[in-house]
Amino acid sequence: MNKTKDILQILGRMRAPASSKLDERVYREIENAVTSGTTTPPGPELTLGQMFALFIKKPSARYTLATTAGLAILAALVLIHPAPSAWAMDQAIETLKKYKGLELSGTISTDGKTYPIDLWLKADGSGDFIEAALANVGGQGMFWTMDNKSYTYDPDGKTVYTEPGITLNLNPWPGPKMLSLLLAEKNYKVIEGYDPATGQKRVVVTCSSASTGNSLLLEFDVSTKLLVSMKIWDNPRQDGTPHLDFQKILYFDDLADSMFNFQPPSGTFVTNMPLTVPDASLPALSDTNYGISVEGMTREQACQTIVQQYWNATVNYDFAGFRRLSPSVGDLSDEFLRKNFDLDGIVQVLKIGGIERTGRSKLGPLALVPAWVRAKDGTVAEVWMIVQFRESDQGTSCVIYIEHGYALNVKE
Amino acid sequence: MFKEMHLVWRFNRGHTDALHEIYELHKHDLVTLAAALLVDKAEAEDVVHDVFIGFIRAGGRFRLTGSLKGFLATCVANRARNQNKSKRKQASDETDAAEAAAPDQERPDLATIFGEEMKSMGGALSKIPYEQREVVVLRLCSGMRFQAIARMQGVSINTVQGRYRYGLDKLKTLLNGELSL
Repeated sequence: MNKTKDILQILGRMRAPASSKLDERVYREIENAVTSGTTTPPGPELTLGQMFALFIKKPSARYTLATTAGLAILAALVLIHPAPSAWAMDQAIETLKKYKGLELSGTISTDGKTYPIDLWLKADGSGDFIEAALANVGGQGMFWTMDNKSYTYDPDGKTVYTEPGITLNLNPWPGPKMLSLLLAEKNYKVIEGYDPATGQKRVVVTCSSASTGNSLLLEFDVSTKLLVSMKIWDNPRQDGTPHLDFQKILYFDDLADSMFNFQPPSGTFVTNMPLTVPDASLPALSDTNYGISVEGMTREQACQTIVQQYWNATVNYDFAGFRRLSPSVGDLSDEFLRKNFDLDGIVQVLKIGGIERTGRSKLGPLALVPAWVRAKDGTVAEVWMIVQFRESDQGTSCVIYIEHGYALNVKE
Repeated sequence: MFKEMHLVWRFNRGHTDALHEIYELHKHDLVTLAAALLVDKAEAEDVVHDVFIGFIRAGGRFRLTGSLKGFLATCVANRARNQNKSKRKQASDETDAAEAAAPDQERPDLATIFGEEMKSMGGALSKIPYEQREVVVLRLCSGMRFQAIARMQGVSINTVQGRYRYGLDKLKTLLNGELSL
């Protein structure tokens, strides 16, 4: 390597990180600006239409949809309150156990516009969690995982945003565990019929949820017992174009790790994904009926305490304690939580880590905290939690926002 | 880019969490840029602080015409240049200007600013003319195009490319034998 190349590389690697003192100074200026009225009072959040207006001005920003897709699927498949059926769901569960690889192709729609989406997923050994993922949205934005980290590529900004853990939020894997969770709830409908195009017998399962505002249609092939298409709407009535419409689902016994490699172009800027909480979640997170008081504790101590309590509640099936720590799960039924805990099978909390990243929401500071937990099969997972701090008349307290990413089969 | 547009949209409507996010997203790069230009961490943080004060005050009327990162980097470079000018003027006003500049003196703080691995580069940067340093740093640390640097420095693109070549040559000479970084 010649000297010029060395210099280019060295300068590219140069880092002088901002100190916590600068953080404090800038945050103080922001607070002062708010109290002195230098900044304008907050206006309304972007509507979907406005979001889309911004979005179409820069079509290559479609990468955002990759994560949206994951979130939408999570909302529909996990938080929805679907229902049991006597049909062959158990057979479908058994059949799906065989496959550890999936490709879902279809479209994603927002505000009347539709884009292609192609999603590759690989399940872990248990068949319950995603071990690797690659999402290509409109051919212009990518989300992928590698070595238990998640990456989102924005080609227009030539930037890759990284996060620890697998953060696609598409869990459980759309296989046995997901279908088992559907069975834990009580309000879905089953329709049997024939596909006129192929003459094959189909079973259509529909679910909706007034609380999450989603509805879902799953189509199974009766002879193979496999899920063959899936539609998800942003409304509980299956009105209009589905937000996600996977028309083709391919199954693989397994997929090679190389399938999930994505190499952004050279010169791409790599940075940490900022730690944030959507504004829509803040009213729930500010509810002082949830969380713990952390008066007199350092942030590290507070995070250790609340994350330890969260995992203790999980291990001990303490549903009330679990709900008390996190408003995000406050509405989930005992039955749903019991089934989820059974399927997760966490039996021991090994260690709570220190604060790994920090951020801030309107409510106050945020911290990303890892924990190492052992499952009943002996494997160890690292799971990251987002802790939200807030101030109220009752002093400083904190709540768990959500589990934010995980790494499977890690060392103790 | 969409993310930046969304953040600016929210910032202009008074959402302070957007300001926090903009700061968190760019703080390390901006401090690195300022530190490479000024070779002084405290001054670099002052510059970034001042840039954010200016940015906060622009809330409600800020118009994003390019990338936010590029805009903030240009603000930092402009402020760093002003800072450097006043420092040089102060040094020349002092009787013992040569001692104040101390170009060949060992700078123990360089390891604190850039880390042990990069201190030689920090030292070498401090010894090349400011205009050349600015071009080299903006091009290599911030990925800014020559055309944008030319516009910022108010000179032709040929001049900027010349400063870039001279700056790199000087760095090579200064770092001769120390390139095992």
